[in-house]
Amino acid sequence: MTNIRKRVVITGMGVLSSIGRNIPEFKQGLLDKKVGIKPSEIYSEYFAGAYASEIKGEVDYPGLDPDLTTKLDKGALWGYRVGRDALEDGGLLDSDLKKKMGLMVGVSAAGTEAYIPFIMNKPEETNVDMVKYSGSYASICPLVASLLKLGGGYELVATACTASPNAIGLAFDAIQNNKGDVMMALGSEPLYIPTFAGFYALKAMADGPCTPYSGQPGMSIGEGAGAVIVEEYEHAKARGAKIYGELLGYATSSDAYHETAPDPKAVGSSWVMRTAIENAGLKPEDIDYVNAHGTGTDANDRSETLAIKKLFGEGTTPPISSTKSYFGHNIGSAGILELIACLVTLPEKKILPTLNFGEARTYADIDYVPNDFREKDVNVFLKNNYAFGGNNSCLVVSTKPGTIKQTEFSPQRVVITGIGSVSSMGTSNSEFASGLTDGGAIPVPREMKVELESEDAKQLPLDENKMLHYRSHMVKPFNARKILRSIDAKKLNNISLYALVALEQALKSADYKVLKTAREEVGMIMGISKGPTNTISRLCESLAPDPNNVRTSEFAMSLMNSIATQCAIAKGIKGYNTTLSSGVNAGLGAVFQGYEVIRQNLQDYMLAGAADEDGPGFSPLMSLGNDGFSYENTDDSYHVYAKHDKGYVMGEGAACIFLESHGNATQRGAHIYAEIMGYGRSCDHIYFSQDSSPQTMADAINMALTEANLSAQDIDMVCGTTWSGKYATNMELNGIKLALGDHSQSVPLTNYNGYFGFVEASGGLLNLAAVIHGFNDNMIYPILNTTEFSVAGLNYVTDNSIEKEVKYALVTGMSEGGNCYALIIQKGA
Amino acid sequence: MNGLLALHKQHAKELISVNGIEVPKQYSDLDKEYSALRHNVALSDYSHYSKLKIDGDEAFDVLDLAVAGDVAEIRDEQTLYTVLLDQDGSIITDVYIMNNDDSYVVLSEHLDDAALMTLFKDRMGEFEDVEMTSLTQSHAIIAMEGPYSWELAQEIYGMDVIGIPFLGFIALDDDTYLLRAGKHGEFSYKVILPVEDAEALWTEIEEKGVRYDLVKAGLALHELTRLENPYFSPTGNGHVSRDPRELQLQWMVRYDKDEFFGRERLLEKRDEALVKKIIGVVLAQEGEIDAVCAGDSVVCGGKEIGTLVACRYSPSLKKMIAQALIDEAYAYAGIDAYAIKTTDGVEFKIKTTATPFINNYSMLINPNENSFVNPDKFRNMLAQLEAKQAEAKQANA
Repeated sequence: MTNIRKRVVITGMGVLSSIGRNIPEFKQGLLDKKVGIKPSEIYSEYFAGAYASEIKGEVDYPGLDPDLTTKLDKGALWGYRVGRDALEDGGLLDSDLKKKMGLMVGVSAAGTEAYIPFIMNKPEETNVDMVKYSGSYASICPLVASLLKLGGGYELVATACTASPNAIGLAFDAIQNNKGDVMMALGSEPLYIPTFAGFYALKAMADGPCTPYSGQPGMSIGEGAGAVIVEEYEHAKARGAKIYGELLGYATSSDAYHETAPDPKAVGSSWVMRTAIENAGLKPEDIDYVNAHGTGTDANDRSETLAIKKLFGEGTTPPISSTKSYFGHNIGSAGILELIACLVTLPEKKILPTLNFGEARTYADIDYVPNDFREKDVNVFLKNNYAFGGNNSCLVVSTKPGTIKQTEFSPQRVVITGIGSVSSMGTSNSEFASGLTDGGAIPVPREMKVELESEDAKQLPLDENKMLHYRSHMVKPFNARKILRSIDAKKLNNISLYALVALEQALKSADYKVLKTAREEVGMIMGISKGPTNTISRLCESLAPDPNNVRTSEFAMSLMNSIATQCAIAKGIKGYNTTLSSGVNAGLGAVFQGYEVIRQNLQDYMLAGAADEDGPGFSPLMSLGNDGFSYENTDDSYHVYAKHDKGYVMGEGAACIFLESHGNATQRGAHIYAEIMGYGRSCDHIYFSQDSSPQTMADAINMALTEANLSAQDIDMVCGTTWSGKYATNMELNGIKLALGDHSQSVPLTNYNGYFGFVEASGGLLNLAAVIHGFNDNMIYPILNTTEFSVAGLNYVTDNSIEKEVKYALVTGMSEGGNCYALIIQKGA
Repeated sequence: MNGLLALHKQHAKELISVNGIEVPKQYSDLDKEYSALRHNVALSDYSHYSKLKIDGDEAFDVLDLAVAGDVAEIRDEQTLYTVLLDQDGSIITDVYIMNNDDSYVVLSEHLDDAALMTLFKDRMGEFEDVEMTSLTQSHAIIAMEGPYSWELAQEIYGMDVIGIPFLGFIALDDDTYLLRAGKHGEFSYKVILPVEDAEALWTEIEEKGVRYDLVKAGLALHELTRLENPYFSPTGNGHVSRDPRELQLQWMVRYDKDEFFGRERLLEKRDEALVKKIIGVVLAQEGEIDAVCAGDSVVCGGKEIGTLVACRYSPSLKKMIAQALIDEAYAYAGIDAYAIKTTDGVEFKIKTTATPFINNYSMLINPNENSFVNPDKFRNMLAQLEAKQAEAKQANA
């Protein structure tokens, strides 16, 4: 069977930039060749000669409760603002379509603002409301979804400078799989001191406005936000929407080369363009223009020039230009702002120039459209972005929707042929399996000094020495070299190490080796929640009192995408590469996207993983206002779904699965653990109220059932993954009841978090791994410790394991703000 | 006799047999060869290196046990430069280990093929899934070396050459590698290739090298270049000490690795007080001085504090340079209170120095900016800077 890829168009846009705060202003700023990069008002205090493209003065937030503007960080507020503008521009502000509209966000330094007072040693300036609402990395997603009432579920892409174009890619894929007709993609990146200090200390900054490809090398940092409405073409036409352009395809990849430097051979940056063009069914000669990443640094401009020459051939390169010469490098929102810049100028047959262009650097020997607009009728163009760690991305866009032939693909059956995990139960599949049969690991006693004076802190059960006692599921020390052998584990932080060990197991259990000749055949998606907290802490500690002394060695490794890029570098994985930092259960999001990539036949093999490390850094703060945390100090203190909820016990670890098409697996004789039948994602708007509705989880389950072509009665077991807390528990359990109806009374329901703790990003994947291990032995393991359950009428597996042949299993999960996940798998043959 | 050797026999001034392989010792004139290596491009035949391919699931484990460096530090197309130690913790030889997708190629110029193979086989321990294949006879090594060797290599192998980092390599095909590694501080590209292809490549490089004033060179040249940029040399510093600490080669050893041959004794020695160590020495007096040679004493106020290990005239510095093994208490750089005392009792003032002795010309060259053959580009960064400063001065005037 062959499917024709749906046409995906852009039908609404919103923007916030130093050169314009709405689309008309932004467009005029571009046409006027306005340079928004100026001496920095904020950072000149710390850094000599600091230049930046900054959003100065007050920003208005129409429709928002003014009280919230002091409680939320700028990342969320700007996200709201541009998202709202995009909805308004697309005629969707008050539309019912928002109920099913998914939200894909791209950011880099999210969740930072709330902690700036601590970073700069001014704890008295802490805004506790901001810590509560905007304190987690992923908080922008539930905040924007709740404020704009977007109900289609969210994901947060955190691949630094490629985050927003990758978010657009996710929206594109979701539409291809009927997960929505209309999606919102946005990037929001206020500039905070760790980012500025990091680039400044790396001596990557230009002395003035950056001059890509010419003059003195160096970048200009910037801040801003952009949003686009991504919509299925026929749907857009039917509702008479204004259409800005058509997204023809995209690709991401990894250099698998270095933590910060791009591959000087430009293999990955060239490959990602080639792949994106192929995914769009085109050839390099069909490309009329390239909007480059063009940061202005020597490393980028040199390798990007080489990549373009490699792709198009010497002497036959199309015009390329860097829009960063206008408003700097906006990191997480760079790609989406640059895309919008193209979409407001190219239809007028004007190619954006590279401003500030002086004497070309010696390697810069192609057409950079210097200083002046070029009159040219551009139909198809590329939007390149590259990020630390060799994360590459490329969008292929048409300014004339409907003019390029649609591509086709054969939808693939997607199977799981490898699994791996790291948890308190061990670092191998056999230890994990034993842990399930032996009743899980024992959480270890921990303590932490809490010196905050806030009301929330006063409610914590501190002893007389202000010590907080609690339990955690910790990964026991292990000899990484014995597992990873030829990989240099010494330079890895814990979270990357756990991710890599899980990934190594997944590859081994899949009996797959990443061959040098086929590095691009394999891709990877990593789910992250708090990320490398120890590294982030060390980075932040080095910022005060003088941010010029920032530890540059920690800068790149503090990024959320550093885990995936470390794994890619270690294993030479050069295919699709992205990081979803959607918080709790981000691993399930990684599985969904991995599934999409294989299903659409865009990649032969995918690894979907997630990782979490225990870190002292901000944990007391993270726990503030979080009534779900368990401060019980006993071996059995974690009671999932309990009637009298006592909170969750944190855990650390990682999980990874290996995905491929059924055809591939069969051909190479791989053992098939399970087949993915369908998934669903849906979001409630409950970030502020926590007044959950079971319908949202039911919607996600029904979406998965629909894709799997199954009915509720076909489900043989349910594995919930919710951590604790009244609203989450009720939402998951009542959602399951609602979706499965009477069948929910008899279908066995379990939740394995009690075995290894609540492992934020990885929990869903660890539960999935446990379900798959159970398939092998026809066992469903019980929920630990809980005797009385909060929701009646469900068939909880308690006390003992159930021996049962399971064909279809439903795995459910949630993240902040009621973002629900549902995944249906079938036991492998 | 292979075609390349036949060429050498026809054109080289002198051949030498090293590890059972005949290669040029000197091609024409040593000064010309030196100048080419230090200023433009020299072409050499390093086929005398023993070459061992180590494959199999446990290839990494064997190598990691056998050598003192950390083999886990190198990924695909990266090379580790390290040493093999004996059980006494003394250096047997230095080696390059190239990781080609977890299959490895080991290069050693100081052990013959059989000795290298035996050494690794003796160190296999319990590992079985390892296959060792000698490439010594089947493969030649042709080296383009010097400040503009990258440009010549780029002409032959394309723009990716510029992207090869130091100790990186490209597998050109299943059997041919382009390795960027050298022991003299200049750019150096070694092509490891089937011996039957060697003559054609040599000829091609020679032809294309004309524009670069390429000079064919032999091994004798490196007795000097490796003193100017000190490396381990069995006949130089290696004949007075094999102790990595004394030779200041601890950087080639990973003390924190759990297990490798010689580790136990090495750690014991590390806890012992260091008695002597190698340090660089430059004679105060300019010019070539025949009277000074290895074995002469180093004295301080009449007291003997060490011995000259190797000594030569450096055309770059226009002075005699030497490595000396000196009592640890005296072994600091920047001291001009010492002297060399020859066997005839004549004293020459010296100054101790950190090494390398010379500032390599290659450090002044940016392959993306400079060129030997393109008149539109500056030869080096210094010239580029001077031109910019002159331009700025003119603009200000």
